[in-house]
Amino acid sequence: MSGLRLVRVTRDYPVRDGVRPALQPIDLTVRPGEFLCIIGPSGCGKTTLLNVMAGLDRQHGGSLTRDNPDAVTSCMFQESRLLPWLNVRDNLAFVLDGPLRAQGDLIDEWLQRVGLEGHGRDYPHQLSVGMQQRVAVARAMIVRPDILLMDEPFSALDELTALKMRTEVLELCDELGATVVLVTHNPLEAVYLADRLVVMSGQPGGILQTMDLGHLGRPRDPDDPELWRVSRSAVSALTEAAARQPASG
Amino acid sequence: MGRLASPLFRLAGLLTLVLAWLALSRLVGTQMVPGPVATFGFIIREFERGALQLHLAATMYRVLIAFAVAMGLGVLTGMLMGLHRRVDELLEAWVIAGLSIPRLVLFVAAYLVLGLNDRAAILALMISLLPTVIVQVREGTRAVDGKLVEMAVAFRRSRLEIWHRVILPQLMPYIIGTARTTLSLAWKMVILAELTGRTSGVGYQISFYFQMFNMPGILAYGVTMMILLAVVDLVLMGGLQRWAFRWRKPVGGVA
Repeated sequence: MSGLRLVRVTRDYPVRDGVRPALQPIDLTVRPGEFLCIIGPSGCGKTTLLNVMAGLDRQHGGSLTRDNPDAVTSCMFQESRLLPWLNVRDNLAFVLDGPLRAQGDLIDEWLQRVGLEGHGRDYPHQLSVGMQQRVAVARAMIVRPDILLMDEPFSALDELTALKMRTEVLELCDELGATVVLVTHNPLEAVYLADRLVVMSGQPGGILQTMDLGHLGRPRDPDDPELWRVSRSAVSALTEAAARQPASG
Repeated sequence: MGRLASPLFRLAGLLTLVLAWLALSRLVGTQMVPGPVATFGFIIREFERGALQLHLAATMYRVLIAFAVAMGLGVLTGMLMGLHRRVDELLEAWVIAGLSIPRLVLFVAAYLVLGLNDRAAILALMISLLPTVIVQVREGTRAVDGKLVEMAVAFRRSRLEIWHRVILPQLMPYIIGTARTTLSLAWKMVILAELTGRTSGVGYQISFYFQMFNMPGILAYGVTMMILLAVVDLVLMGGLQRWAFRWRKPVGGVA
C-alpha cells in the first residue's frame, strides 16, 4: 500500500508561440488505501494529471512522490489496450515479471475471478468489449498493485455491464488494499466509488473542490438518493465554474 | 459448395490462363508463341541435361543474397527513419534518389565500376530493392499504436520487451508485405542484371535463346521463373503471413 503526494504539479505543452499550460499548480495528497475519483469536463487536464501520476508524462513541473518508492503501479484505460496478437493468458503474463510469468495457476485464478475461465486461449477479437475490459481488470490486478490508476475504464461499456464491473473492481481494490485514482466524466459513478472526490475545472486545469464522501458509508446502493444529491452538488460546482470561465473550443 | 468454392474458382482462373495461352499460340502460330505442351517439353529437356537447375540456382543465389541484405538493412533503416525525425530528414534525399534512379543505370554503373561479376550484380540488385523496403517499413513504424506502447510503459515493461512484444508485432504486416513485394521485384530485376552482364542465370539463358531466336527456350525459362515465383510467394510467403497473423479477426468474421 502506498500513498501519492503531488506538490505544485504543472504541465505545459509547447505551441507555436510559446507554451500552453494544461495544469495549474496542483497540490494533492492521495492517502494509502484511499479510492479517489477525479471528475471534470473534457479538456480540464484529468488525463494529463493521471498520466503524470502513472509516470507516462515526465515533462511536468513540481514534484510527485510515493510513500513507498517500490510501490507497484498498475493502470486501466478507457479501452482495454490488450495486445491483439497475444491470447488472453499471454496478455496477463505480459505484465508479470520473471518467475511469476510461468505461474499458470496465478493466471487461472485471475481468469476465474473475472469470470473468464475457459477463455484463456482466446484472442482479444474473439471477445466482446465487456469481456475485453474484464481481461484489462485482471491484468491490472494480477500484479497486486499498491497504486491503481484508472482512466474512464467503464465509459465504453453498456450501463448494465458497467454497473456490475464497478462493484467488482471496488471489491477487488478493497481486497488488495490498493490506493486508487479514477478519472471519470460520470459524477454518479464517482460518488458511488470514491472515498474522496476531486472536482477539476478550467483550462488550464485546477482543483475546484474536494469532497469527502466518507459519510456515505459502504457498501453503497447506486439508487441511494443521497448519492444522487452529492452527485448533483458536484455537477453544480462544475456548472458554476464553467459559467465563470470564458467559452473555449 | 461452401468450402470447395474457393479452390474451384482458383482452378478456373488458372484454366482460363492456360486456355488464353493456347488460343494465342493458335492465333499467331506455334513458331511465334509455342503452346504449353511444347514449352513444358522444352523445360523437361533442359532439366534432363542439367541446364535448368544450374541457371536457376545461379539466379536464386543472387536473388536471395540481395533480398536478405536489402531486407536487413531496409528494416533497420526504415525503423530508424520512422522513429527519429532527424534521421528521416537526413536520409530522405537518398531514399528519393534510390527510388527514382532507373534500374538499368544501376546495373550498368555497377558493372563498369566493379566489373562483370556477381558482386556487381548482387550489389546493384540490393541497391535497387533497398529504397522500397525502407519506405514501407518507415510508414509502418509511423503507424505503430502509441496507446499500446503507453500501456506497456505504464506496466513498467523493459525497452527490449516493448520492442519485442509490442512494436515488432505491429511492424510484421509491413515487413512481411514488403518482403513479398521485394522478393517479386528481385526476381524481375535479376533477369535484367543477368541479361546485361552475366554468363549464367535465367536472364542469361533468355538472352542466349533470344540470339538464337528460340521462342520455346525463352518461354521455358520465363515460365519456370513464373512458376517458381508463384510457389515461393503463395506457399512460403503466404504461409509465413498466415502464421504471423493467425491472431487476426478473419475478414467478414464475427467476434
